[in-house]
Amino acid sequence: MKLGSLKPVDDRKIIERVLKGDTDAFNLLLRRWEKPIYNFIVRMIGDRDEAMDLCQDAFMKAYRELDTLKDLDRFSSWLYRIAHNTCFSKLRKDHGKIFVELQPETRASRMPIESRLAVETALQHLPEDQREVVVLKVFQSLKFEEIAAIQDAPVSTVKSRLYMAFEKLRAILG
Amino acid sequence: MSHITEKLAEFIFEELPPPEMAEARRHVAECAYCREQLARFEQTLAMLKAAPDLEPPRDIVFEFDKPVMTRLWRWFPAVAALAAILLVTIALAGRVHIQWRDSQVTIAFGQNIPAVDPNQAALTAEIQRLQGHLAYLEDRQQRVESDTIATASQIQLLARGQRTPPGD
Repeated sequence: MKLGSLKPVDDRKIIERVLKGDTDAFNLLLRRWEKPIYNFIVRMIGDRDEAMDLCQDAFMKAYRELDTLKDLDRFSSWLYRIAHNTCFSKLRKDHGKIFVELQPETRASRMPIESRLAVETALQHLPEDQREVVVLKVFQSLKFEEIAAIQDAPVSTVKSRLYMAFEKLRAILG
Repeated sequence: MSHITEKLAEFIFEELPPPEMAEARRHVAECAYCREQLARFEQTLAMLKAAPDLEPPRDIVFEFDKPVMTRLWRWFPAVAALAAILLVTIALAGRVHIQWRDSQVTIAFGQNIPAVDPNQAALTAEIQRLQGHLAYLEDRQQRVESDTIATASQIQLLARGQRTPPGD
């Protein structure tokens, strides 16, 4: 699910319901955002089981802190920011650990699953802040400004990280 | 226009303002260096996008605890219905007598509600009136007795004065 295909207005309506006490409506937000957030986390940390647990933690935190969300139309950016914090907290704990250990393969021989594994491996070789920019830009289709807000960095820094990441990925993926 | 190296990412992801986007397109069409840069970037991008999204291994579902009062209120209709049934059953069994009169509910356990005597209030009022009259009469009696004693004493004093010898 891409960010662009979602309507913030729908998120707003659901959030308003949750804030008025219809707590079960939060599961609608879960259904909508579970897959993008899960894929963001799994590409960031490289471990699918761990990513599921972290995804659940991120949503739990989002639910607990929903009343602190100031702009209801920016729920997705806010949610990615929570997922970002969750990931970086985990990455700090597992500093230096790489979960995906498959060797990159040549482009010509790749099937879709193999492509995914090759990309996941290549991503794990990037510094975390560069990896996050690639994941948020390429796979989650966020704007540079949104990524800058999530990373709490200037837009120019975000773009630099993307260029440097692409240079490294080109070297790894061939 | 200079090379678009600095704006390559924004150009590819179409985040440049429309006039700059149009200018960059024109430049790329004319500049071999920028076309090569663009091709290399797009090649890496295509490889990344070949990796599809994963389906989460399980759905996350939150089950939220309702507030205590909400949970209690959910049982209120059942409890109220049960109480009503119980009350009606007991009433029908003759152990409780319920009466609605003058906007007041009277519930009597184990006996009939005593009938109200319509003359009761009038009799009570008459007794109170007679008791007041009796108190008045008793007061009058005490005053007459006091006057009688005082008059008798005066007569005795006068009588003694008449018996005193003349010339004393």
